[in-house]
Amino acid sequence: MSGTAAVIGAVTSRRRTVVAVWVIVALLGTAAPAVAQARPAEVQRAIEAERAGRYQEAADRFERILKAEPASFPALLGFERALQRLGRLDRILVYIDAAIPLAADQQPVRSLQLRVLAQLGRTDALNAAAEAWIATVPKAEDPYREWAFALAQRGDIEGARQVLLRGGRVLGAGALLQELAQVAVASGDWPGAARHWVEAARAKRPAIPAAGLSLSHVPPAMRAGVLDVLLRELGDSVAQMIAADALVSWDRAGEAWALLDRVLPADPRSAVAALRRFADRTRHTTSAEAARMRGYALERLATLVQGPEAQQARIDAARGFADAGDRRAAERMLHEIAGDSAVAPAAASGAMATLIAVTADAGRAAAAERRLREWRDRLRAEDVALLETSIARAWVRAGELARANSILGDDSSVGAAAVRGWVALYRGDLRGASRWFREAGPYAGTRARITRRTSMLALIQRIGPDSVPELGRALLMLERGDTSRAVDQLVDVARTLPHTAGRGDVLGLAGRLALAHRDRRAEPLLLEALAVDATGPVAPAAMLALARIAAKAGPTALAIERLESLILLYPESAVVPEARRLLNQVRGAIPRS
Amino acid sequence: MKRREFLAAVGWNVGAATGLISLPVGPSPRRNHVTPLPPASVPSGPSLLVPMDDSQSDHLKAYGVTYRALQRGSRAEWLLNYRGGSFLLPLDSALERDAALAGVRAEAVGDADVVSIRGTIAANNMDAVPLEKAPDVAVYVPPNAPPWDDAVTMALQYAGVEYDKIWDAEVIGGALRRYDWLHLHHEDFTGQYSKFFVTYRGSSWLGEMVRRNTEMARSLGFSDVPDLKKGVARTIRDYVERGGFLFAMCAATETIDLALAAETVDIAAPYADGTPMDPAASEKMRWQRALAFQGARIEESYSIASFSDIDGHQVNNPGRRQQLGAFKLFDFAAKIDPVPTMLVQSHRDVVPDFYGLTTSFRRDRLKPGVTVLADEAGTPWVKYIHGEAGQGTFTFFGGHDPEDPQHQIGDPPTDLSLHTNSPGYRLLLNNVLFPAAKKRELKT
Repeated sequence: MSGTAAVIGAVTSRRRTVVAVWVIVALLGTAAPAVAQARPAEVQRAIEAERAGRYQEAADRFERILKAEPASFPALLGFERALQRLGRLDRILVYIDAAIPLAADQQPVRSLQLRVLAQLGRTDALNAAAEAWIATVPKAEDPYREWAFALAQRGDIEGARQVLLRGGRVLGAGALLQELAQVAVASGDWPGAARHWVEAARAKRPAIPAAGLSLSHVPPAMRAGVLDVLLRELGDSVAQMIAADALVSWDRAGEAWALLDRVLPADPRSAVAALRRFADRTRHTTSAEAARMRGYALERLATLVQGPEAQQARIDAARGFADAGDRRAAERMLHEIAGDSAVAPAAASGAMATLIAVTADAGRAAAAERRLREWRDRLRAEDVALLETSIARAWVRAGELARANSILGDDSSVGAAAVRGWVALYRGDLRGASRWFREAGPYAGTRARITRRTSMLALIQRIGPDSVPELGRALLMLERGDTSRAVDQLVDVARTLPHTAGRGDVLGLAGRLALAHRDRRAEPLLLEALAVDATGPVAPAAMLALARIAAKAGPTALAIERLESLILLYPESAVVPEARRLLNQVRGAIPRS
Repeated sequence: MKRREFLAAVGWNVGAATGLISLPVGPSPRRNHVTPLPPASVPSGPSLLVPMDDSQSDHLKAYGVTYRALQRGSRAEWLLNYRGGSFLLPLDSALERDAALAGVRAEAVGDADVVSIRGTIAANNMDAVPLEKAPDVAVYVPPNAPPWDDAVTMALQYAGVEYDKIWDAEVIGGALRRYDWLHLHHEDFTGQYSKFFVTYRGSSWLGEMVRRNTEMARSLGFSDVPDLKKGVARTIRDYVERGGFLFAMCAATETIDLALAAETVDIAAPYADGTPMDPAASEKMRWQRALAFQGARIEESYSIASFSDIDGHQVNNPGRRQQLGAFKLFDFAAKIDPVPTMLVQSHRDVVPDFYGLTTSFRRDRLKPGVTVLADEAGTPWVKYIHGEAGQGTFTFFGGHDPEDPQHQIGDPPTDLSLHTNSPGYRLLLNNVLFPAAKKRELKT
């Protein structure tokens, strides 16, 4: 590469004037190439000095570069940083003045000038510099924007607002509206910000996401006022779309969807963009409502797009519905995909696997088993095993214990062991249930399932006899949702058990179940459990439940007495932290959550 | 009691309490001259050590356990810098029960253990300060404020330290003389409603605040709310000068000094008193009347929720807002400077910072003689300060809630049972027990 070319390549288009100088020097055959190659190295050395905290050296180096190359913007920025550290920022002003007439693109240098003057507190000079800039580019937004920013930086929010309003008047409707909104946000004027954002979005639709994002930060106490502005005071479709965006981020997805559904743009492209944004934003919250609304939005999206995009939207919608616990809607979506011959095989089998799992979780074991039979060959082997376990669980819940065992076949996974444990338990085979639960260990299923299994294992290990079919029937009744009759049965079973071999534990379980269902039998059952076994693990759990009853009923002193007794009598019990927390709440030491 | 007298008193007690004369633990040359304390003051027999290092399960409730022991008439010792600033209390069944219920770790220690502890204290930068009396605590707070609105009331409530709520009528009426320790809720003593008037106009809570304050000013014979708050600030300063202990956080720190220094100057926005702020207010401030600060410039814009340039962080001043860092507690010589040592007892030296309407204090705005207890290295601001005024002391801690660094209006309250080992909250509670360390009457 010739020296001339190297020089030209080394400079940016922003510095055309300087380039011209270098080119002339090079053509004259001077030492220009060597000088030009030294520039980046010199800048690098200055930056290294700055990084190492040698600010004086860095400032000196940047200054030397600027003397040789007055319009070097990287050097100006570096000089600004170093001087700031040294507390001598005013020294840069003369170099900025020198750079302005030389810079091809004046915007960054003029912005720097305003920023520096603002930092130095030279308001008059700042205003004069801004006016001078406006005079050179009277139709540009930049001078007003940067001027306002510099004033806001000084804390002069009102001044910033006035500059932007003036810019708006000069430049015409639609100018600087987003900046006005941001200034309102900076001053904490959220209703004002909402008004400006709507104006900005009316002028430029792409501002809607920025508006929603900005208003997502509205403090809870101000949200009603902001909604009032958006929905009552302004109320057009743009304001409603912005309100929908903000509501999603405030975890009010239901209201958000109701709004968006009403004002979805007729233009398909805009509608697709709005639906996608809505679906994305609901992913940031974990509530069931947000998941369901995501499902609705994606279901609508699937009708506006074609091919694989539509399939993916349906699958995602089904996931949304399933996450929300709306299995029927999830099934409906998945059924559409699985039944669509145009869908790619992999997508169809994935959708069917999800559909079978959703069907099984909904308790429709026979339908799930039938679908699995039909699709078995098209599903992945690991999916089949997982689905069989899900279906077996569904059969257990239906009370069809033999069918549950049958579908598991010779599956030796921990998931299958857990299901077999429940089958054994509901048959009254406590020893067998214990064995299977231990084999399943702490790995099979979700955390909730593991906790439930472990609690049951702790209970049945306290019971003396190896086989108690009545207990199995009572627990199956509980599994199937008939809590009231299950409590009756558990009480009957408990009274047949020896005092020291599970009577108190089963009574305690019956009492806690009754409490969870606001059954008046709870208190007498828990007291009976305590009377039967005051030393076993049932005692602290029963006392905690009794304290909850007392706390709910109102006599705080009784709740406190029960909780204090629990903590002092059973200091090693696993329920003590829970008891301390309740004690704190009852005493008003912490807020009730 | 002046600071030097207090130090002398504490030193006398400490020498005895550490048992340097009567116990064979190798006397410290500095303490050899100390006269032994009468036996009744020395805890003897089995004791309970409440460790305050990382082994403690609930640091905050440990203060409550100690406070209640003092309330029951027990004597206690605060073992400064020993295992995070532990407490040594005479073992009794009530104490054991209280610690167990509170979930506070406590270790039964025999005489031999106590001798060993005292030996460690004598040989290191540690000290043992006797705690004699549970201080009578008042919190200056509007009557309708929930306890979850203020870090100190939350800490007192959680630890189980009893306190009375007082407000303008009680302060002006002379109720302060009944209390050893006064905490200022995050009040705006400039009478400008924390300068939320513009931003939150129309909010029901702000309307209620304005109504309540205006009625109070009228009923107490003040012309307007800023005038009332200046009167309250003066009464609080008198309380401190007569020997009271004042603790303040957040905006109360900065605004009480602004109100005191602005006694004859209008520094309130027109919405607060109907007249514009004096354009030369900053120049007319009389800082000799203030407790901790001097030379500050008043924020003139009434739309910016900032009061002056005392605060280093300026959280509500967009152009000047500073990022949060972490502040470091200073390490004082326990045997020479027991007061600041008490105030910085913690199991952590470095604590994450947290915003408030006033987050920190610019170093160049502090009066000479103010002791800096914690600062952020490399910044021009400090976080935690202590000083004396007349016969009393004041301690200012910037920020609103140590466990809610970005605290905003409408945020859910902090549940301290989820922050049982909070070093920031410990600093508040150090202040509550600090007045227990010296026994003297308030001069009224």
